[in-house]
Amino acid sequence: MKEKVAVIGVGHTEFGELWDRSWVELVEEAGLEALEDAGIKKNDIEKFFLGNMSLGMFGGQEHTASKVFSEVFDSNPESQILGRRIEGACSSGGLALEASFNDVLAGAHHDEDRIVMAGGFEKMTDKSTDEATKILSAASDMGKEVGFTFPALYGMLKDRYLEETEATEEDFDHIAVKSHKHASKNPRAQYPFEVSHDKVKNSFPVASPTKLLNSSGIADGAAAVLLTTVRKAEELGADYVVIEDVEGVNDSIALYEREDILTLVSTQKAAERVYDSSGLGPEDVDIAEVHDCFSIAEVLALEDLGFYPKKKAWKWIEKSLKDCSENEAPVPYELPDGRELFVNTSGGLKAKGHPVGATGIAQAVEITEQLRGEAGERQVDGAEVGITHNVGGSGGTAVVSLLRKP
Amino acid sequence: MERTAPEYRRTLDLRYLKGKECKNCGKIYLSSRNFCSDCGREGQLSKTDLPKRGKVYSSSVVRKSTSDFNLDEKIPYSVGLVSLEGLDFKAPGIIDTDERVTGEEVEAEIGLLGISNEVRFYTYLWKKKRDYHSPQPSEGSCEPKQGVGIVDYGVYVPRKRIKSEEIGEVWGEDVEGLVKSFPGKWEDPGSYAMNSALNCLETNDVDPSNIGKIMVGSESHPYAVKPTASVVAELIGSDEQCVDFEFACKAGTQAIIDAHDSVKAGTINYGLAIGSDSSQARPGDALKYTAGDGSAALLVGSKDPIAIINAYESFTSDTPDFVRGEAEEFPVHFGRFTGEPAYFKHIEEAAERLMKKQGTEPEDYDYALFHQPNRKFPRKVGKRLGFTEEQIEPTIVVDWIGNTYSACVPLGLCRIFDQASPGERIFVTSYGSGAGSDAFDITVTEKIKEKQKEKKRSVDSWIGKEDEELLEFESYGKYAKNKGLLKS
Repeated sequence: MKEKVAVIGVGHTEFGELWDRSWVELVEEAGLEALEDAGIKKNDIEKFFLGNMSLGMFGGQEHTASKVFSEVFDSNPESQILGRRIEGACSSGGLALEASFNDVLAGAHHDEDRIVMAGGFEKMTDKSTDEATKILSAASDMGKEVGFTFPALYGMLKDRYLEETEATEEDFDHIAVKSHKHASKNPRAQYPFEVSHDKVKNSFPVASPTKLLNSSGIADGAAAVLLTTVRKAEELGADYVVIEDVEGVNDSIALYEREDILTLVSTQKAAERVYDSSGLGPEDVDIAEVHDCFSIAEVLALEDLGFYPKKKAWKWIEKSLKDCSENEAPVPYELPDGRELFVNTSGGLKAKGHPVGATGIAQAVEITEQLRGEAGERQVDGAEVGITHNVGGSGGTAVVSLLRKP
Repeated sequence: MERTAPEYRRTLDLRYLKGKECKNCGKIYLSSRNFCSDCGREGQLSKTDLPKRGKVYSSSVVRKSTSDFNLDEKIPYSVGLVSLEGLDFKAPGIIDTDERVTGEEVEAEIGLLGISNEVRFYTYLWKKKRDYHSPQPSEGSCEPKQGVGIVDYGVYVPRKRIKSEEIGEVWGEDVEGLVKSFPGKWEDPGSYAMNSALNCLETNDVDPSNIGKIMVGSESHPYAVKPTASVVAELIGSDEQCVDFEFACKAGTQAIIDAHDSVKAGTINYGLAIGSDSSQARPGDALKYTAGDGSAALLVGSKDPIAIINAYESFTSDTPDFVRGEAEEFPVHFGRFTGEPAYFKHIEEAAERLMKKQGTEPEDYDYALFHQPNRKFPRKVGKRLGFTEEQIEPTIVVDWIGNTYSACVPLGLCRIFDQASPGERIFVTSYGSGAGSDAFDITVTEKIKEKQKEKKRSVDSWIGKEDEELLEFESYGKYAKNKGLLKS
């Protein structure tokens, strides 16, 4: 039987403007937390993959892994570790998870039980908002989409959604209210407070129809998960969860090349692959951490992951979330079959924060904590299966992973 | 993010809506690529002009942008994907509006995307499609006439306008009834020149590679070093001689003379003479009420001209009536703001020389076009020379757009071409400070009728005498910002 991969430890710094900590300190903090969680030591790790979009532009530093080796592993002469940075814009974290997952499987194929760390980080707030926005624009087609900020690219998606459906702008605003509600219960969130629907609705239109409170902010942060085989996890006596699969797929970097911009083909394909390989489907999923860099992105994600029919999710938003200010967290979506789906219990990119390279890993941290029943006030009772969905740019890369209780 | 010269060159096709077409399978690409995705190395890719019309598929209004290309100074602006007419294809681009315009028909027009390291990146932008008045085709006929003359013409005038009352309010002056044009946020004298050249070449099938010389006359060339003409040439697909002229407001007519002489000498087949200006005026100067924006392009040649240049005469002297020092932002008047020793003296001398040479009298002409620094001078000099209101009025453009410096007389000439009948005769005299005048004796040919039928938009529509509802009258603040009078 094919060996399975387990998450045996997780770490997650707070997200926000962490001006007193450098990127490598954030990586160390998240990494040590994961090691402690798993009950193992630094030198037990054989490899690490660090998702990061743009340390070169944000911090002027390249050769990331060696820097980590110096600062975190203190250049330990006993160590045989090999690390590398992985880049795929905002899906860098997801790609690091995918690489780590496959590295553990490759080891298992040779009857090795490798322990691999998948990390992700971004240190964005050293730059002005203007500089940070320019750097993030590098995730779009720099030659062809001059003047298209990310809020504008997602604004175009939302505009098209409004054009093709009967959804209203206000439907989308409920999503931000829900995300903030969840973040208010997450001590690591950048924006741990609630907002009203009116406040979202009346927020500044940064790239109409995208408003400020439909958008994720700029943040620093790091997250880490430790992966190994289920066999090893059992041996270590770890409180582990199983990763069924992690799949990543590319699509065109620019929206203009896509026939129907309202379908993120990369998400659909990646989801199809994890559902196929695991024998599970959207109907089995209890919790989802989806890439809600903008409210429209959450809607498209829920459709592309198969929870709602295409261009129909909007019908359930208001119905599910309109009273979320009054309800207890976490607040679920009602699915067409009447089931409940809890989405972005962490607060999502919107409210937990979106240090871009960390996001894909932070999603796996939240799902792991939920499946272990350690999510505190935002715990979803009885969660068995969770999905993560991490997008680069406006869909040029998507990484989907499926996790479940052992 | 500073751009570089190689990047400038590599993005030209994209910015000028030139795609690639695979000769093997016919697939069309927006990007400048070398291999067809279906045919691989077997596909032969060649350049193809992409449609300049389309429908907005999705759009967003940017209200917070970055300092990349100083786009943060352009907010709010719209971006969108445009489904190109006749192609299963969407092009990303800036849309010159501040609304979401999904579903609307748009047309491409050249604009200034931004400046990087002093270098101006022009690109096609999208504008909402409008219905315009076209010229009324004339009737009548005349004897065929051979010679070097104007083969085609095109103009461009921005749609922004400001009233003198609005300017006077700021400066504590009471000036009534004047209107002038000024640039939109994506425009400069380079983009005007490019658009007027495109509008000129749209109604003929002259191969641009046959245009041996492109000349742009301006007082406000975008570059102190690097010809505006080179930017126009690359856009239209000509790669021979390019030169910029400066002779205050007569640089445009100097370009016509140069083109005429070169065609006559047989060294080129066609010459493109352009006058284009975003006229500068010191904010407190009286010129602030009149210094306007616009461009006109005249294709000069000897094959099927719509008008023959029968003769020209010039008169020049060293008269520093109005000057701008090297690297100075605004021109200054040297002495009283009067035309006597400058405007009137030079125009009258050149005009009289020409009439003497041609043995003509004012009554031999149907139109009398003079440089128009203000509403009064052209009418006054015309009368002093013996021309009548009937000859002068159809040539006036200043009333709607102000003094467009080098573009003024070429624009007036284009306005005449919109209304002239075969056989009619035009008398033209320009004036440029410094000082000189060029006078022309021009006869309209039978070909004018065809041209008038082909023109989609009349000069009267461009200047705002017609289609007034399409003009955008703005506040002094907007004017000052777009004109570069506010420093950021």
